[in-house]
Amino acid sequence: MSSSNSEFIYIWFYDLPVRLACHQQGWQLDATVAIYHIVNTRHIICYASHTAKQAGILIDMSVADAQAILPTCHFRCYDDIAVKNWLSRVGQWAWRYTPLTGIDSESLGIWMNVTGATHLVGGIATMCDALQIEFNQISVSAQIAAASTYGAAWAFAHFSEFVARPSLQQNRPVIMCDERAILRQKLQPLPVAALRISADIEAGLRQAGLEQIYQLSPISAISLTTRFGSELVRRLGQIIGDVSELQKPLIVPTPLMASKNYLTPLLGVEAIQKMIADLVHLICIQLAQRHLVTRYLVIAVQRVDSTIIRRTISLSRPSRSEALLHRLTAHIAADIDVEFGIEHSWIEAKKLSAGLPVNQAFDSSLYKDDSKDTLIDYLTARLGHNKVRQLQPIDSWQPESAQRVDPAQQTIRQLHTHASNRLPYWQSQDHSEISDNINLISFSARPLSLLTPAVPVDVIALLPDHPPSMIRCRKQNWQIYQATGPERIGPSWWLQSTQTNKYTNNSKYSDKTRDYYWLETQSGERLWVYREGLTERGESVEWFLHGFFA
Amino acid sequence: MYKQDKVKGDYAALGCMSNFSFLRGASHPHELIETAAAGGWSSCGIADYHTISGLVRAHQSAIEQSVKLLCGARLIIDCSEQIEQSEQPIEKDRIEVIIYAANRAGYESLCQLLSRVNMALAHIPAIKRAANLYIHVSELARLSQDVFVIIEAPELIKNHVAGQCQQIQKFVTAPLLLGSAIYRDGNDKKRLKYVSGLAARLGLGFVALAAPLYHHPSRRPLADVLYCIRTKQTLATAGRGLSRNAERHLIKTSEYTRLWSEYPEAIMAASQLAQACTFSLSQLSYEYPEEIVPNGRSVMDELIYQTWQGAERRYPDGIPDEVDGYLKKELALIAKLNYAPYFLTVFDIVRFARSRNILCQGRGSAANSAVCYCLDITAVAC
Repeated sequence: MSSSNSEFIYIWFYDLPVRLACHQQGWQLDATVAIYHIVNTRHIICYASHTAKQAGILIDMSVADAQAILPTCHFRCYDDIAVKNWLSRVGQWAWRYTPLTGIDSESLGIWMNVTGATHLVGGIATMCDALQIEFNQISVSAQIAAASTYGAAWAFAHFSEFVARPSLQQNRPVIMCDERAILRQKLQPLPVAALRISADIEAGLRQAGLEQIYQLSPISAISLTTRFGSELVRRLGQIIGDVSELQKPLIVPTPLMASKNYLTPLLGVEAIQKMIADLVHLICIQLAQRHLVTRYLVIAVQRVDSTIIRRTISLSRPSRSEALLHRLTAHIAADIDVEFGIEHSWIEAKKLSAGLPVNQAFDSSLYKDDSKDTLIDYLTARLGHNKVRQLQPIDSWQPESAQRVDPAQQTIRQLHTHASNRLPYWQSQDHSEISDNINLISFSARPLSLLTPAVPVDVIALLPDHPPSMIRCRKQNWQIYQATGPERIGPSWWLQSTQTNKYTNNSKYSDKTRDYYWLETQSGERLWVYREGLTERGESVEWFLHGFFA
Repeated sequence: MYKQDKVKGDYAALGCMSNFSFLRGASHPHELIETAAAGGWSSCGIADYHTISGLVRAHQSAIEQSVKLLCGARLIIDCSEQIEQSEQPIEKDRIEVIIYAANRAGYESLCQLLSRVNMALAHIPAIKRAANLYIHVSELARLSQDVFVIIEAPELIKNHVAGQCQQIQKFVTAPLLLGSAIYRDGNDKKRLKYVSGLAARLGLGFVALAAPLYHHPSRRPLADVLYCIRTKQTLATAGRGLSRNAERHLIKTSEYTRLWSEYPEAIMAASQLAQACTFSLSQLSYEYPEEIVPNGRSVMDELIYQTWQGAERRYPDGIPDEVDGYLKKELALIAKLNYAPYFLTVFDIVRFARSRNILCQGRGSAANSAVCYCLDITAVAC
């Protein structure tokens, strides 16, 4: 593609982070908002709304200073993901004008390569105006620029105030799709920052007194390279079009799906079972061809009355095993009410990831624990995502909060994504020399079953911290044969205020210190009891049974 | 065997960490000393990580509270075999020791070791040093015999602890003890049994450590926050790195004897160690260089002699009663403050200057004194 007849449009959304923050938080568009980013633990303001700027908040100011100047100002951290998402949505929307669009999240813009597409709407000027109207309608501030190179479009969008225009209207699109000589002329008054150079090169140029592009033109490329490196010369070439530049466009995602039409409506469970098996077979072939694995399948059928019924299957670990998918989809047939029959059906694989073909016979040890995962997938497919759950350890001293019940598939997925977390924490501290690292004193044992809430018990025990000699719980008496402890566990002090406010209804949060004992009764039960309250601090004492060991 | 009356009122809180243990200790040295005094401790051994800088404040407070301050420091020791220091010793090789100076020579030896360690690691930023400062076990060989070295058994004990102790035993010439603190984690009995057994097996003394991180249970939140800062975590994510309870405070001696009731010899060892430590920071006051005095007189006698000689020169008609009174009063004060050598030094300088016809003029807070006038240091009679 020769650059002389190329046409690029660059759209710069200069107040996008502020706009997004206002939109998310429901603030007025003229609210004083400042967006900061974190540089080496310092919070530095990187964007501010014009009202905030009027009040004296400057870019590169620290948040603490800004708060001192304007205490009513809203502060938000720069949300990179939100900006990227918004830009890619706009980039995809722009496919209506050209198939080649892309995002530039670092400088808050999108670009469109509209070469050969402008005549469809009546020329580049019309296209820019149309874009401008579209953004005005959704009240998004955008500076549009069109030029014959990507670099020039970028420069004119970001530095539109340096461009001499007939009407000095703000936010009017800048259109500079001219011959190279004229383009070069138009670029002259722009500052050197318009070259998209790194900050230290820009600072170096400033030190040398070179602030605008025209000042660079008399200097030879060789001396510029010697002084400032090759980047500057490359950028100079790119902005004029002497050096070609490649941008990564947004890629149209192609869905991975297979479908089937039926001339006569399908009826009966067996026929539908066959249909689903066929669909699974088709999708598995596609997955294998593209070396992909899936974690999420959507099976949809269209009935004769045009109603569409969807069923989803999720997997705990990505797979394309036909046998596994057959098993997971087996129950669907009976689940669908076909009424007068099905005339169209399709299957779509989502949440794809790369999966190279593996030889199962080569190292079967890798797949040893597949069976449990498969069982969980199977149960989840039958019973629902939230119905199959698994305990997950949490690093905490508090016995109540040392575990969480999560959907089982989610737990497995986490274990697979963080390979180091594969083992629960009590096994994770493994060392190379196992024989040399026998734990003589380690963390105290926790019971296999925990009572929630703990059961109050009557106890005979010596103060201040002797283990009980007898326990009565409900109507049962236990003589204690042997006891160890106490393990003293203090409250999670940082949770106290919030916990009591939020959760007063479902759990009475105690801020008392507990002493835990491991007891063995005469009859062989092994109990975990605790005494709440410290007598040495003058607190009242209560005893509870909190768990059983096997 | 242990006798109740022998140790009564003579308890030593060993291994205390003040806030000079950067990002670990959560109480000021004076708070620890005051709590120690209130809790019945007769001695308090401050030992901060790789520094003695907390001792000055502790010393001032210890004088006020009449608690005996033991001067020491805490070191993280890398017990690995190789001498070259790796970036950070693996967990297996790390163990902490507490060193107390028995006398001035021991204090000097401890300070020399600390200077070596800190200067070798001066290039590491302070915050990183707080987390990673450690020395190789062979450095302990530099210590003189005038210190006590206590190996602190860690909270979680693995069976390489014995090897670490033996490694330290190889290098330390000073008295070596093995100590443990009470963590209230349910394993205290088991731990004390193991550690005392290990001490007996290795022939080390077994000593009871108080090892508090803060003076009062209410400082637990601060200690937890310090841990988070040190390890760059938040309270929500730090998990069991945080303290499980507030028991790392300086307990009362009644509680201490109750918790250690099965090991009275460990309490005894602690108080014996405290008794053997005779060093105090008071021994480090400034020492004026010795003044050369003729005729075998003492420095003060020489000053008195020179003053009266000068007085007779200044007042040939007899010393007025008023001046006589001033001189006696000033000489008494100089004797009390032990400033005589300084006056004689200035007197020598002035005499030399006058002999060479160098113009000189005495000035300063003592310039209007009668003694200075008589010694010809100043020319203005009071």
